[in-house]
Amino acid sequence: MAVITKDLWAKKGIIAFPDGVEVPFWGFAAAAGGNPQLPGPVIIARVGDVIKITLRNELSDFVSLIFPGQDYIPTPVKENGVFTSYNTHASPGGVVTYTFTATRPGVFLYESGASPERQVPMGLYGAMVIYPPGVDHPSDPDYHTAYGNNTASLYDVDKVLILSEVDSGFNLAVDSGSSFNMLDFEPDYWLINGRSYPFTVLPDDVDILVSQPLGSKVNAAPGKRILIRCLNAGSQNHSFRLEGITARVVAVDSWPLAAGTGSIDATYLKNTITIASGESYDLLFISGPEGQYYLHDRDHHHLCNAGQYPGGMATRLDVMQADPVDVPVSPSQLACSVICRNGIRLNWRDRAINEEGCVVERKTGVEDFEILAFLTAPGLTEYTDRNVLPNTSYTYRVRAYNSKGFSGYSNRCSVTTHDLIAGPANLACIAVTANQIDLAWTNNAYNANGYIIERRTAETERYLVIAEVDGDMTAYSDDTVEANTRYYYRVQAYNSTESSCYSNECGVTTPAIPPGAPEHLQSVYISSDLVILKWDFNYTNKDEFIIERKSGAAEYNEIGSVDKYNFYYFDFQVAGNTIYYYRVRAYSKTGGYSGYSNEIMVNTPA
Amino acid sequence: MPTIDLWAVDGYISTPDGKSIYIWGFTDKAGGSAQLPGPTIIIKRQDPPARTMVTVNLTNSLPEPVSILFPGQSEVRVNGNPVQPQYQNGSLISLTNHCLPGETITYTFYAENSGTFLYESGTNPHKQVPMGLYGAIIVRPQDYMPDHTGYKTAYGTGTGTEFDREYLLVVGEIDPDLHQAVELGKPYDTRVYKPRYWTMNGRCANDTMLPDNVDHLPNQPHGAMIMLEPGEKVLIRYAGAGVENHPLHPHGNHTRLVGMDGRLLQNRTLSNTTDLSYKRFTVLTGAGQTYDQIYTWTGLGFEPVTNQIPTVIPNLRNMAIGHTGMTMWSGSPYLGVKGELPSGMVSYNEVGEYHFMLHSHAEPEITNWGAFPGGLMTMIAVYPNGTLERHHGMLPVESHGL
Amino acid sequence: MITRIRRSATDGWVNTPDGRTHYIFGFGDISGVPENELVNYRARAELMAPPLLLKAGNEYIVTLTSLGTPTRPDLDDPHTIHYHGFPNQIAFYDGVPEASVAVPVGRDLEYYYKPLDPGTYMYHCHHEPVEHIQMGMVGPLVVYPHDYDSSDPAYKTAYGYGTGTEYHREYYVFLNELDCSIHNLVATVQEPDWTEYRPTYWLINGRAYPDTIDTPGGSRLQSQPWPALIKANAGERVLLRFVNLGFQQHAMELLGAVLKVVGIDGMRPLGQNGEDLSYNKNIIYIAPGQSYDAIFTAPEAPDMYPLTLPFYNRNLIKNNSGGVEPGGMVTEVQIYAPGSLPHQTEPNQA
Ligand SMILES: [Cu+2]
Ligand SMILES: [Cu+2]
Repeated sequence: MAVITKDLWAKKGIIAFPDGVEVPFWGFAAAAGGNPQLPGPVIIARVGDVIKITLRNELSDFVSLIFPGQDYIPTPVKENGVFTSYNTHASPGGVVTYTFTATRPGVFLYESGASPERQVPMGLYGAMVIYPPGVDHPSDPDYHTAYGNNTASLYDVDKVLILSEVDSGFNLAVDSGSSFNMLDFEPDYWLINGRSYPFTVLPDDVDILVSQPLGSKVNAAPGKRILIRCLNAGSQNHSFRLEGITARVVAVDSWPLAAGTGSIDATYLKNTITIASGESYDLLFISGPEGQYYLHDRDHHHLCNAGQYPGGMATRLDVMQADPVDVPVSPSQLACSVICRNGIRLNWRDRAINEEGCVVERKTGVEDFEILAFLTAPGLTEYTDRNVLPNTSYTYRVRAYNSKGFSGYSNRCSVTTHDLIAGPANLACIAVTANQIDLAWTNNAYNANGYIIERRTAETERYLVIAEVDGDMTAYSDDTVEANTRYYYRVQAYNSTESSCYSNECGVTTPAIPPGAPEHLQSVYISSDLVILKWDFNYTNKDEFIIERKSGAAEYNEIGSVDKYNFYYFDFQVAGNTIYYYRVRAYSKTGGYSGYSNEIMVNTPA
Repeated sequence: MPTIDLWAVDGYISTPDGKSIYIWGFTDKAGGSAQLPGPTIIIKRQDPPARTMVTVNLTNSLPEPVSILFPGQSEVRVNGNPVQPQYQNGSLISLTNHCLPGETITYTFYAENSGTFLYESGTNPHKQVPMGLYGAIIVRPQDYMPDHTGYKTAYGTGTGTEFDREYLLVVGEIDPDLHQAVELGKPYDTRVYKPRYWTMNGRCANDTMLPDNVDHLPNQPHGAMIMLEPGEKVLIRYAGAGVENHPLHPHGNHTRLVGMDGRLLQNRTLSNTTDLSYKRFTVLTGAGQTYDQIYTWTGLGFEPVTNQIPTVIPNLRNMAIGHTGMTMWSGSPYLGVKGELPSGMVSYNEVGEYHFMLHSHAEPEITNWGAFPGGLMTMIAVYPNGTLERHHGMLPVESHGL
Repeated sequence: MITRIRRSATDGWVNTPDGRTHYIFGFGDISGVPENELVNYRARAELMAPPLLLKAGNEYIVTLTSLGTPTRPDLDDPHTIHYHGFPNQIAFYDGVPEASVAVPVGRDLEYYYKPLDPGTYMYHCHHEPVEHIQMGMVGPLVVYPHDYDSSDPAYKTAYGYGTGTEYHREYYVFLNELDCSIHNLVATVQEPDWTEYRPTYWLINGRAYPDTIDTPGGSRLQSQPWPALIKANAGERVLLRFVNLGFQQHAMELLGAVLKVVGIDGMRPLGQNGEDLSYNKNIIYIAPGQSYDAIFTAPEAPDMYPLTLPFYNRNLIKNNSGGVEPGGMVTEVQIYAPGSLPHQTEPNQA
């Protein structure tokens, strides 16, 4: 039986989320001067060990520790008959030591018992894993079991997953000493082992997450016995799904369901399990074929970081033949270029065969590199940074990761966006007449000398420059257009050194011009049963001529039409001794009807 | 081998308070509207050693990728390969292989376990599952024979899961703001999620008590009324398709919880069977989980002549009966007897059957946008012996043929 | 022989530790009260409602009398008693107004029960249940085994002789929540939107911490007569009867002792072949409408008596009263040297 001695420093720190948000928290550090950790350092012991924890309080509130599930009698502290702490506390700057014997195996929480309503959500919690005594000895029947021989808990790979939540507004308020009404507590981040997805799938101890050292991704070969030990340190209840897996529940609250020889086997199978605050579930299954399996909250709204999917309480099991033995080879040949309207396109060469994803980092000018994106798929060779400013220098670097850690960085690439990068926007075009199109745009450039206006008449054609206007203009009238034609425009700003991205493209069709009216209508033959009409021959922009007739005071009626190549009309439907009036107009499909020709009067003989 | 063609499409559902809500969902009819929940897939397992391979062809008529997860099923594959999560620009979009708008994807899996299962979208699940892209799968044991005593079981003969009638209750929640945002193509922040409606088989009470396939609910074809005769064993299958947990409580009796997530609560060795089922009066139906239970009601033996109830029935004109002039009550304390109700009272009671409520005990969930009655509520009707038609509570052996 | 019990339905007021008062509907115990004195029991609803203590095999008639709601004289809501969990109930005694009879103001209804199954149950009004449950018409109902004998250790059990459920002391852990804005709306004749339910108080036995441990109570807590202070002598077995008639799930945690779950929803967890499925837990995770019976053995720790074991909701963010913590579902277990406390003759006797 060993004595497990652990010193914990309660102190303030900062945790980071994948959306770039950083939040203060309170946590336990494993060393003087060390960073506090979320969750606190994992305490590992064997049944029979004496666990001696010394808590050193560097916060300005009382802090204590409680040990739910342990054979341990707390000594609460009260003020005016009301709990201030569920166990002996350490004053600010003070020290308290707790000692107890680990009497049963399992996964347990240790957490603050002083104002736990605030201090636990602030991060003052951690896990304690107690193994049966023979867990490390291959000849012992307890070898590689969570609960000892005959407890259906034999495993090849075990992983503790600590679930919790963060309300970033709560953390900010409590850390700064501002008031916070607990009725307003609404988490916006959900965590496994102190991290939100996709941080959860990064390896342990990454340099970018100084206070969140625990990844939660599990790697295993096919056919292995995997023991997932879920422990809910949060204040909410979570329904945890093992996607594509049905697991055997072998223990609840660290009480094995098959409690050794002579007791019944009450283990059961589940693919999703609702885990209440403070509960633990040990879930055992055999890994399937190679691939990725997500382990996640089935309340899909907890798969978000500040309301945005994907994120939150998700991690992954990667089943692979062999665990990577080394970190990936670094990516190389990183190149970056400005892509108008899209920002900056990065390309690199993926030289690794064992990476799980990569991290793109960016810096501006002389600042430090910051993480731009976590790419959670292997084999990627490009990324587009859509969030860039004009006239700014960016430097990028990329590194790959796997469960062994990060590769070295790629080469850096730098690129400067020009100050016209945004270019004109919101280009709109209106056909005012058949021969005039008005353009208008908004000016996004700080110092455009002028704008180049380009036009084409079909999507398949090349753009041609049709005009240049001064930089203070945001409108243009194009009066070189033809009727009934579709035109496309785009606009580009320029100054003495460079040109901007193009604006959006806009397209508009000019209205058609109505065909010209036929002229010089005359009758060239008149009899009692035939009238022949003739007009001036001109078929431009016409499809047909329509002939109308009336007699007396009646309305004109359409009596016939001829195609545009005719300039005669034979009216056989006349009676003798009648006065008729005629008129003609042209029609085109695109331009509609023309005006009428002159009207003529014909008096047929008897 | 069963083959199911599903289309991911949109549509509208109605709530009893007169709202029309835009949904995304599944249909098994070409050109059909989204159905809430998606069509129930019922499969009967083959006799071993034959394995029951199920094929699901999903055609996506929605404007973004859609996929289907089959939790609890074995060897889920696409094009012969195990399904895998999908990424876009390095970021997770789907927990399984998806199909793009306008395309079709073919999933296969082996139905190796009897019981009740969910199927649900694995793509943008924070949006697509609440929008309605979910449904249930029932897998029947290979020895299932609905007309043979002892072989009409949930998990196979000899498992203690015999039943006479069965009912499936798929529960979910609706935040109309999410649905409107999706309809209008606007962004939606999950932090503001707040359900206003709760659905049982896609319907809110009192629509839950209407029969299947009523005209005015074309996209919510399934009722949720539970009907039995005294002494009959009723298999009630709960499936939690929403993102919240719902404590469902049937009046009238406990249920024996015999299976969860499509797994029999029993451990068997060659020599020994350990039965892990036990009785509950409220089962917390967890998100993404299923619960198979046996319910029965035998009564207390009261009858009007030889065993009268030991209390005096007050003058009913002095009492409060029903809601707004309507009641499910017969007017008599005795099963199969219709008593006299005060005049002007409309009774929906048919033959003196008893009505027991089955509802969420998180009582705000039995409202429609805050107004009782509504939401996760239905009735269990116990009909006098010999008066309940056989077809009630009879789901087919298989839904989509061989 | 039939035992007669009588319950009033009326309104009243409860207090929370932050000094606020909240309007409730509720039940009162009017068993044996002469008719002409009933008027004195108006506006005296209690939270939690007076427990209904029955014995398996015996017969009971529980009369519900609606005394009206003096603070809301306009209100003509009827009331019922729903015995939640009674197996094979008939609709007439089930208390669901849509499927039987409800009791309007000034009227009575008799409910007959012959409970056969021991265990921890609950009762509540089922008229507009979302409102009447939240407003406070909720209480525990315990069925003692037919062979129950408080004076014989082998027969002082939750589920009968030989079921492994012997105990020395029993306590209610009756959980619900209170949304003060909804209670204010009801008091001022306004309609709440129940989808906006957002509790402000979390109660054990009708009280929020530290009222939970206030054993004298006093006039401030006269409508909340049930403290939640749990006392035992070291080595004794203590039965906790958990009931949740709130609308939220809760996760109750006891530090320093192991809870053995011997009853769930008023039944021993037994498999179809009689398998004893009782189990140990650190947390009792309980949803609305559920009950759990859990027994712990009061730990022995010579030289440390009296011990104080915190007992609280592990959904820690709820442990406040109107936003002020500590509060909510928090109480304590006090453990004394063996032989210090006298024999417990009634539940919750501290
Ligand atoms: Cu009810
Ligand atoms: Cu109830």
